[in-house]
Amino acid sequence: MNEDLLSNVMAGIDPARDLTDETLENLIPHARLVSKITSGINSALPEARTVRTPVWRRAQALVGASAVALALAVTGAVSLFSSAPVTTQWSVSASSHGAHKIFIQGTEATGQQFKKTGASAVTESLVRNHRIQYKFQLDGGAFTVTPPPASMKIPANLHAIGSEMWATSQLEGYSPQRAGRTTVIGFGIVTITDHVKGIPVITKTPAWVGLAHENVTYHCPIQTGGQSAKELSMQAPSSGSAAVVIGQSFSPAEVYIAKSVRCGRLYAAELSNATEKLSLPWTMTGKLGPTKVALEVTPPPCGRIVGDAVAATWRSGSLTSVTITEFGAVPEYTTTWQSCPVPSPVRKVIDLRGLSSSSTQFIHPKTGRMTVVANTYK
Amino acid sequence: MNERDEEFSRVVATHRNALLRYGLRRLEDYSGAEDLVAETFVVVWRRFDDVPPRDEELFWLYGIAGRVLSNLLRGRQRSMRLEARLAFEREGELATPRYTEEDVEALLEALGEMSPDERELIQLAYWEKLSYREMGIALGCSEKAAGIRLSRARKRLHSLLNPSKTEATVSPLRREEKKS
Repeated sequence: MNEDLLSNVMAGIDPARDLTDETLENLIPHARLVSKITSGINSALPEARTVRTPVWRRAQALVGASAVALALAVTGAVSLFSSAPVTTQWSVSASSHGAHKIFIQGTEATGQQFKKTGASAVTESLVRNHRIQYKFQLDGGAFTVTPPPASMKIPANLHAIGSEMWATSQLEGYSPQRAGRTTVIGFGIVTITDHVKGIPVITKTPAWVGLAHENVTYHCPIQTGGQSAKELSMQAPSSGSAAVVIGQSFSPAEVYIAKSVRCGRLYAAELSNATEKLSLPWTMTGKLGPTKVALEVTPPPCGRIVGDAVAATWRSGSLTSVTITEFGAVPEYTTTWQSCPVPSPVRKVIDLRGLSSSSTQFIHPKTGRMTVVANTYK
Repeated sequence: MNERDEEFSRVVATHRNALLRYGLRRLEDYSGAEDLVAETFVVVWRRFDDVPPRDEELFWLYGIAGRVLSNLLRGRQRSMRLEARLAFEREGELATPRYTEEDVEALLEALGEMSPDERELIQLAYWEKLSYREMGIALGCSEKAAGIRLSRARKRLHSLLNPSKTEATVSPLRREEKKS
């Protein structure tokens, strides 16, 4: 084997050769990696913990006569990266709409990390009979949902809407917000005052609303200087919360992610068109030697192919089974999707990253909508 | 955030992807690569006063990652797995390779027979594409020493890939036999 050939083969078997920065950042989110690093640093530096005593105070805030006041009661300079066991409480006060005061607890389980378990606090009576019961706000009114008129008929079945909401690709890393035993999905009238170019304006729009909260553990470096956690939490009272809005026929589907505080930094609210993650059907059209196969993949109507994943098992240097998943993304809202023509199949070559044989089994996963919330794929 | 925190955050953000690729190339999955990178940065935090100038940072980080990797592999009793059971995402079609299945098998086999240190040199050269100088920073030796070590590793690799040719031209034993 000469040097040129050696270089070629080495490049060919490089397991990271096609990994773009974007793909890596999607697969291994920066917040998660930083969290892991900080956890390791905290474990290695026990003395650091002794000098930081978090102060968590419970606070309440009442906003107006008809609003639910959300107060993320966090004080102290170490907020999300406290290393001592703490119990955090968010207090929720509700006004005269019959909602009662509840406390949702976030707990520190390991003594080294603080897991945000309830950043979006809601009352159990927020949704009744699939309808929003009282005015609910995020970010002090940037996102508002109010009860629908009693005469308004709810358009679709809850199961289908829930399935669509939890396939929203922007919600990877989130969990559905719970109120009591149920997840918070309700029909209401939505207004979003933030406007972003390219995102339809939502004003008093009848829509399904699903609430989610961030399910990420942050481990952050010791903070000195800057704004205190209390100051930041006042600026981002709904930190960690997100809402998916799916309007009635041909209305927009959007995701609103509230202003958030992560590791002592304030992040702006985000508004985007909701997209849905899909597993696409494919057919194998042939094998290109032992290391590659050719597929025909049908892009989703109105959508696109966004990538693929190959998971393989092998024994004695030979692949025993290969599961190929072709990912697609479509704008969220089924009616729009159905109105688009079915595109022609696209030919793709898949590198198996190993040697297949005649006994290698090729597995096609279930196609259709993927559940992405809470970092799970089903 | 103090100056050290900020600088550390910058180092993490700048080099995380390069180190993740380094990890993916040597371990079998994303999770393993993520652990490797996290542990590497924990070491970096402890040794933050030793961080070299920015243009040498990455190579220094490769050196730390290599040592963390050795510990990980020792702990897990793993061997190199080039077959890489990776679940990966990628887009676009791949160019037709200019080599055969036999070439791949031969190379995998040869790399498998090399010592971990030799293999690391080859990987740093062909995958991370480091120069002698950069490799020296990674390995904690001089540029010249890195060049010599890589040269030896290359020779060993070629001898494993082309055994008959090497035996005929290099083996002193064979030369002695021919003379006699």
